[in-house]
Amino acid sequence: MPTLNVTFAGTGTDQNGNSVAIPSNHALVSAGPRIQATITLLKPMAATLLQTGKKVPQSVSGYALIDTGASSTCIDDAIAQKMGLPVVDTVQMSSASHKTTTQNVYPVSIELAGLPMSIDAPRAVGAALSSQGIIALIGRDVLQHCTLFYNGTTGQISLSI
Amino acid sequence: MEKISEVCYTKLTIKLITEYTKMLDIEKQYFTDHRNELCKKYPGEFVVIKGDIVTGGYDTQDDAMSDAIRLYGLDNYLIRNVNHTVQELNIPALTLGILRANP
Repeated sequence: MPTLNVTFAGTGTDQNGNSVAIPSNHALVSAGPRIQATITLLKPMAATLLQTGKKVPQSVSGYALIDTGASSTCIDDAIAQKMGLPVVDTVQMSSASHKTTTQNVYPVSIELAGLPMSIDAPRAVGAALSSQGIIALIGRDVLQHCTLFYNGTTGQISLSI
Repeated sequence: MEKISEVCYTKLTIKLITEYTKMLDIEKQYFTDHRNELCKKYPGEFVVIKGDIVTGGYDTQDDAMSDAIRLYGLDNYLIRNVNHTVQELNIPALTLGILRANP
């Protein structure tokens, strides 16, 4: 079972303005369990496009936040549209600032740096994420196929698929 | 000149917003209106709907998605299981707007 082990690190400034390393556990608290990821069109769809000689949308890389509180995986909507991903459904989502909005659903695969395989998220919900420095939220629809260890005391996570 | 550009821009923006909010409206309406027929014809299967055309029923979502992209490329189309139910989307980080809340 392939496993991704991540130890978090970060830097801050001390009272004299010097750059200092932040302990791993604090870095994990601050950034959350973020991992480097690449969003692509859902693999079976990309394979079909290739077979028919059509161009596959360019992938986009960035950080994905593992969010055990999210029932569904989300990707940044602006990125999905820029990639030219097809919309395969829509869902209703309410938020603190808006009553209910209609969000697009995109078929994607997410490649995690350090893992030899990609994770399929055939119904990823489009949402505004890039302003938060992430391109995806990895939710429980994907995590149901994974084993996740969150070691808060050492500032490490392990994700096995 | 500037005002004309502004008016054009506003009209274009409204047009884009209108089109955006109508994403897959025709397909979703078709699905709702013909749900019983679809359930009888494709029991337990996934269907691909483009406009008011149903391309067929598929055993798996992957099969449906692969055939949809083969037929329609990167256009938009509705892919749903005929037994589709509206599922509650629970994403507190987004719904509460607390993705990067700082104390």
